[in-house]
Amino acid sequence: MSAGLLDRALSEVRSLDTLSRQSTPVHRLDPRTKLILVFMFVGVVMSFPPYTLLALLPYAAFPLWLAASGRIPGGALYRKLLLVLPLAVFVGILNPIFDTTPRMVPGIGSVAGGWLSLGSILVRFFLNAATGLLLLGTTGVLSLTQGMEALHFPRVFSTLFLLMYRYLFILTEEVLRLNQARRCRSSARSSLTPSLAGAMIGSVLLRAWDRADRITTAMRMRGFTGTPPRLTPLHWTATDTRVLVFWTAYFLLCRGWNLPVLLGRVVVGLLS
Amino acid sequence: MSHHLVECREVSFTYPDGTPALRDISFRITHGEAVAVIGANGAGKSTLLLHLAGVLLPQSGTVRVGDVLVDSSHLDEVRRTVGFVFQNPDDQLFMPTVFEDVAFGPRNLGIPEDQLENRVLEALRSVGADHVRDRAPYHLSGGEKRAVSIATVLALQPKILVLDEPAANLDPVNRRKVIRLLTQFSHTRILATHDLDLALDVCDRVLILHQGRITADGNAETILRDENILRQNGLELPLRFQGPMLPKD
Repeated sequence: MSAGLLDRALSEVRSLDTLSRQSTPVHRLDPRTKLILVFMFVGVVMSFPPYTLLALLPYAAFPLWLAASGRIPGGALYRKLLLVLPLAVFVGILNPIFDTTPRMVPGIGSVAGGWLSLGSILVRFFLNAATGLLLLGTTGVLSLTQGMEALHFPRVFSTLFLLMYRYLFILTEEVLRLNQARRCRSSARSSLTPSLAGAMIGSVLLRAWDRADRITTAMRMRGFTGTPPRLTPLHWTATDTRVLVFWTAYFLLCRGWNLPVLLGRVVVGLLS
Repeated sequence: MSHHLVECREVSFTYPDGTPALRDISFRITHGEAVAVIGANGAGKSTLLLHLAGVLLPQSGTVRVGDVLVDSSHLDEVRRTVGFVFQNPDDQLFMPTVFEDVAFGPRNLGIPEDQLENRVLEALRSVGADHVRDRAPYHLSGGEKRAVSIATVLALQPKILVLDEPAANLDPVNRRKVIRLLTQFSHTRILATHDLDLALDVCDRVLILHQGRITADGNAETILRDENILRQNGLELPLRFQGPMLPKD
């Protein structure tokens, strides 16, 4: 990943952090509600068979609701999704080559299985990644950690999440500084050779090690004994219950019935 | 014995790679004193400060904070008494918001939630940073980061403040703010610095370290006006004593 892309990725994550400080109905929900819903959402979306495409589409309603009620601009979300899109493409890119078995898609006709599974991977990727980003953008990392603790996630896990998120910025900045120093002493023709990249990665790891040591010392100086930090208690409201019940019912409904196909049949039935 | 007292007796320390960092260091700092530890790069200043907070333990000799011997069995007590401010605020600030960062230490000490907010706000107010309580540490300026990192330590209500290069990387205005802040505290203050003008403004006593040994210990103004002592230890007069720079012929 080039330094420019890394820098952009960092500022995108920062912008999510800023968005998480808004006060909208979604932001005000208890983080446990959003965490449970997102885990349920990811579980249900991933539970479909590999060639499912149309049945996944109604699930877009959940991220769309999060984005609209949480006032998260679509543009910001779209750019972040594009940054990680290559990963999803990489996972499914060979499917159309190896899987050429024809499969029927209602309303479209016969399609090679590989293309169908690639499409399914991309749709699941967009749904899950968008929902994950929206969870961060409507909750904030601290509230998420609180939610994890309240849901009895292992405390080590929530602490690691908290600290990794914080130090993501510092380590990325370290990489950027190192790369800037390299570029300042390189000619326009010289590129980043594998041996140089290896030396730079080694240097970043050693710096990360040093920094981790200093941070641990700073934490221990302030009474940290290995027990993760205690955070402010949370409050569950009637709105949380309503939101949880509504979306759970919706996820199950879409899992039990293929809504786009049903809708298509109803429309065709009405027209004929 | 006062909790505000710090005493080193014949402390020596060598790093695992064989670099001797401290050799036979002895001094005693009493209640309310402000002491600057100065010296050239590699003189052992930071190593000495880390010994005062129990981060490093002496290989020979003893360090005492109040009536407690600094050793592996008394670290909790030592760390409740000594507040350590790191040179780089990014090492000190690790929580997602300033409030949570300042609250981190008091929470670890078991301060009840209803007293916590007051404790945090009081610490932030004392460094003039209460307006950034809900901001993320990476959104702060260098001066704000420094102020907040001092607040994280003040919230623990330490008796002794140990600061490593408190004005490093600050612009003149923020450096001046830190100096004003440090002069207001009544704590025992021990700071390592290359900024000799800051040492003069904040401290009444100076220790010079050279190659791991104390080569001078006394009144700040007397030592910092002595060009010979400073030169022998790889230092220069503070800027305010250097006189106007004359143009070269």
